[in-house]
Amino acid sequence: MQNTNRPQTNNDKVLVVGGGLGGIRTALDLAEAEKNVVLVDNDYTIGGLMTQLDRTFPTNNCDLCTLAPHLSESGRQEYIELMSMTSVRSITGEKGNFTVSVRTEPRYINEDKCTACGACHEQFPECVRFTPGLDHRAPTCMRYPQAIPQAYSIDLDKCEDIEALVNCCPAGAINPDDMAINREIKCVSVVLSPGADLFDPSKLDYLGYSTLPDVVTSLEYERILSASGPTNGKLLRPSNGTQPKKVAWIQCIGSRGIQKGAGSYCSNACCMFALKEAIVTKERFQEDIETTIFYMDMRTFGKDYELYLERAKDDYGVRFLRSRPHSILQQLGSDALTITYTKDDSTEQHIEDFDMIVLSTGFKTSEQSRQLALNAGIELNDSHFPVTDGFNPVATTKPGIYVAGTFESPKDIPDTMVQASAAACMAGSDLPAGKKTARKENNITTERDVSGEELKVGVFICDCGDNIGGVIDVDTLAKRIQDLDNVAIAISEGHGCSRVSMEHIRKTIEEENLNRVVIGACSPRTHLSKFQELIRKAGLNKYLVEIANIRDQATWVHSNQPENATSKAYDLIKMAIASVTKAQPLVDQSLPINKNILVVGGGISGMTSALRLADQGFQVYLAEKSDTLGGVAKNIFKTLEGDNVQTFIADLTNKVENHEYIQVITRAIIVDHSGMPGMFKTGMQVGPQMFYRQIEHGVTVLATGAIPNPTKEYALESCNAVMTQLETQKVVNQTPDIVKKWDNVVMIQCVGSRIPDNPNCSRICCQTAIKNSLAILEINPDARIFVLYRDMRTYGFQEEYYQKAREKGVIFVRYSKDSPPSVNPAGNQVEVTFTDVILGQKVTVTADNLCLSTGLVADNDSSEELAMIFKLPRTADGYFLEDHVKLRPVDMPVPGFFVAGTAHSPKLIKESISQANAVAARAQTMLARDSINLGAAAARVDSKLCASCLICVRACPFDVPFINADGYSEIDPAKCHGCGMCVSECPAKAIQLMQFEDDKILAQLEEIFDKVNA
Amino acid sequence: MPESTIKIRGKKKNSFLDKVKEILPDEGNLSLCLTCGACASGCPATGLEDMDPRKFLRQCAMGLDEEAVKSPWVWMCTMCQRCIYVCPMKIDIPQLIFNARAEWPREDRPKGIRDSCDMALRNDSNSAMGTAPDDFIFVVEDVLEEYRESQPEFKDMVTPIDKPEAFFFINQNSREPVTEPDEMVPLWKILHLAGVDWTYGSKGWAAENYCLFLADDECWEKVTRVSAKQADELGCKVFLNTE
Repeated sequence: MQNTNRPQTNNDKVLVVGGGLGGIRTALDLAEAEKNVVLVDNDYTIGGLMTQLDRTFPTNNCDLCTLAPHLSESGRQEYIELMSMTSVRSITGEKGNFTVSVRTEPRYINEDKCTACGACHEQFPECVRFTPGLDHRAPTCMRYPQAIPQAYSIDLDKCEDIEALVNCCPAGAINPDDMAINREIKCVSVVLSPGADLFDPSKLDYLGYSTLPDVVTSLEYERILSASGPTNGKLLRPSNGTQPKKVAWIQCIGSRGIQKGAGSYCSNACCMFALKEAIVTKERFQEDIETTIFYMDMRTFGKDYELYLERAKDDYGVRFLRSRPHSILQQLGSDALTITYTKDDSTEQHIEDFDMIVLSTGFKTSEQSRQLALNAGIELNDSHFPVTDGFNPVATTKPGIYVAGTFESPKDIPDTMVQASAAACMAGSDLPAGKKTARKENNITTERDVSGEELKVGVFICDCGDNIGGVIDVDTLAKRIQDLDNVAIAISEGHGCSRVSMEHIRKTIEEENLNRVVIGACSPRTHLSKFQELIRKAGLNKYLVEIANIRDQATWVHSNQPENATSKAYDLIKMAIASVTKAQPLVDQSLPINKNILVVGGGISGMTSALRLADQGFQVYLAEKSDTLGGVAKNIFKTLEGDNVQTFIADLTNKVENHEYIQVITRAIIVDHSGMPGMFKTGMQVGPQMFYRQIEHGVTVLATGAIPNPTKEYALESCNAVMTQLETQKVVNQTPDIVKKWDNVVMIQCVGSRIPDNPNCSRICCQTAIKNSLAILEINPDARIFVLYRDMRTYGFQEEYYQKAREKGVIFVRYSKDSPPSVNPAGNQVEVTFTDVILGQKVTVTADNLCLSTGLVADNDSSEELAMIFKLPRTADGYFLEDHVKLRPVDMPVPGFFVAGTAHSPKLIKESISQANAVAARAQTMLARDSINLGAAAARVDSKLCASCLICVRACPFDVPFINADGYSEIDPAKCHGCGMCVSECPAKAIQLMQFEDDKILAQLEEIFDKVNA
Repeated sequence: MPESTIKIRGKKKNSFLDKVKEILPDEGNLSLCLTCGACASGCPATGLEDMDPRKFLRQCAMGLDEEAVKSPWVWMCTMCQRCIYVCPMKIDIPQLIFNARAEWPREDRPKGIRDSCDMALRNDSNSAMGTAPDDFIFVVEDVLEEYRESQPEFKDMVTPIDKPEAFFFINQNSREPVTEPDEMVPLWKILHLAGVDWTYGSKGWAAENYCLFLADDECWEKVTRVSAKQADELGCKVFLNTE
């Protein structure tokens, strides 16, 4: 997709390398902030690894359904120039002035002409590119129907009759003379997010991966489960095509090891990945299948991930065995996979047979990405991941070059999304300030006036692959719908959200002169805006479309009852038709944006967001409830990697306090809030006198932090030898002489975390225990340290410090929730008794210091109040709940609100900083606009019916309605939130909510209830 | 669960584990255990004496030197190395066990292994069965003769002993010449068909090395030197240990 309409000026661009989920997010954030981006990817189509997944944790949503709208967003963004099949050859120059030479391989297909009709692939299957591995569906590079770019690609070397191939294309898109193109791109900054490879287990002969077909990697298992996979979503053993009855996962393959090519780091995402696969498997086959996960430590440290683990155990009956099996064997003549294992509480060897074994293979950097790093001149660590700034993980050793996603370090999708936005923030701030590219006016067709036209409804029904088509016969359904009143045309449409279908729908609307559209498809939540935009392009007002969600509400929930699913889908579509026939063209409301920002919370996260946004020239108000900036991190001396936190905070505080665009308001208590995204008003009581002050702002950033868990377990209050990790760290840093006298130290993990009262993992404590252990041994190498843990969760490169701690002699002892250690104060010392499960013996350590890893909890006092004032949702444990836990981890569900740092969930300083930077990027996407679209859903009063009874005035939670000079209720559509409270309360039915008018709803009801009447 | 409680107090004392770490390259990675159980899952001696490699290492790590080192289990290890092969941390458990054996007074070590080691020291054969060099030579020649006659396709097969400048110096478990002489022949045939230039030694021909399994470094060295010297004196290029 060459965007040649835009003038190519030097030095106003950011180059993003890698079109996976992270790269797309970075590009979109920059583009939405009206900054120019070149997005290059060496694959035939963008989307990266995520397009191969079936479901994602922890929501178990379909991956493609959540990703595809993002892909098309990036396909249509006018600020993004997308170059597929393109690789970076070299990067020279420096920040502000890079020259990047890239090479684009020939596709032999003109993307602009190709309609992805498939004629070439049908007639010359050997010539179109083929994705190897388990993905042996259509041998084509177009891996999935929603692919961007939506074009095939030709492998000319395999073609014998080029002329025939060229002639087979009805669009004349095949160009055998296509050549590789070398190009130079000037840019101010670069974001590298090419992703990572997965470990190849074929060299581990003892696991039999290369010889036993039923031993698969976790990604291959994902493909097998996937509706678009090689078995069309049927779970079948590759060896004999039968459904397995026993499936096992073995964790940490290629991770957490020092031999046979393994990475010494933890790959971060595999535990959740295996949990998800086991849960999805159990969900689908329930009692027909047994699932077992062999693991070393279950690392469910992310937000609410512990609950996911508990669900797998308690609700789905996934079996967990803490053991690493030795090898996978197959007896001659048997098709079972045999493994032996020992549990940690006995020396008995168990032998067990499985039908399929899934190897949870970890992340590895690819040869290509190492070469990319070399070409870019950035340093790599021993594991070949980029060396990054201790307080800014997206910043490499070379200024102006940033990294994100699994290329930076192993991580899951939410963390990738955060880093991608953070990289967008950093790369975007290298652009010359104030330089904005003029937005190109879209040549949108004028809206057709449909008033007075006879109703002509077009109904398009998706099969969504097997998601809908696998349960109901879409063609037959379409024929039945065709006979309904007002329906001009009803047809089945394959993947309605694919480019081909979208184009077909648009043409049909124009050719048939339709004036209402119904899509029988998936959820309007993910796809409504896409179809609204489509019918707008076809000349219709965007509110003349209705989606009937026949996937979620019919075929998914009644997958085993095709007849009932069909009749429900029929009813849902009938209702949608009835509704859309009543739909009227509506106009969206818009308002000017106030570009000031309110940041709530003056810890590291709040200060970082404030500084980034102020540096971009926005006025920031930073409200902090205590009297100083710095937050909880003021008590932390060093990071695990050894960076000095105190110096960092001092420097950050200094910059914030002296910034011309930042106003710091300490001792600020938020007391009220009103308005809407782009024009908020927030009131606070400020200073010792509690003066009231009101701030007007367009964006709110929540960085209110979390607090150390105030638990009092294990004699913490009564015995001097017992302290928290924070206190121990203080002793280590301030009074090392005391540490020199410690002969024995015990640390207890998960104190106050992962318990019924506070079920989640505090994420930070394992690395804190490692950090403090190493610091103690630095001062006193002879000290004996025992760390009592439930699962060591040193994810990513923290694992290397865990290894170092063991090397230095720290002893790690596992305890279970049911038999916690016991503690007896003994003078200045404390006796800690615990069981060593492997020895089956009790151990009593007379410790000079018992150090409790108490972790973090949400600051309920303030977050509950703030959630109420700002009307924001929280998780059960009191952290702010973001809009989408997978794809939108910094955006709150209320537009204009963003969340960073430990207010979101427990996290490390550097992770908080990434999220704070991400917030700055996300906020800029909103602040770049001069006005905000409020949609059309607003309440409208019919003055003739209004009795001025004041009920609406009282009912409105936002104080919008008032009785005007003419004596009836007036509602400003720009201020109305569209919640519908007044509509339902009005006794005279004088108020209608646009988009959800009574006649539309009643028309739908009539469709279902007429059946009852008859 | 045993009643005994492990008491840990006061200063750390030097332990058996520390001692072994000092003499192994990379400390044998002995401190790196993740207690994952991969070793125990695959060890042929797991479950014997209620022990397994992970538990053994754990006893050492917790300072239970007496229990670990004195366990008869240390003599049940076959030194097969299945544990270290799959260990994510590449922990040298076989070396740890070897050194535990070395802690035992020689007279307390298992009689069978000890006697076999002592037997090997009796003459220059290195044979744990005490077979003398002449007996070995006689058996080899006798068996060769028999096969040359009965299987004409191998009439040119040779079994050189002390052949100078032979490329391979090959040794032989002495159980075969003594109790199962026919068992030697398949290897000869392979060497013959492959046209290999090889030789036995009249000295140091026995391949088994019970002194190694006895963890008797001194005798192990003695036995090994006999073989090595013979190979060197003959001018062989490669010492091919068949055990």
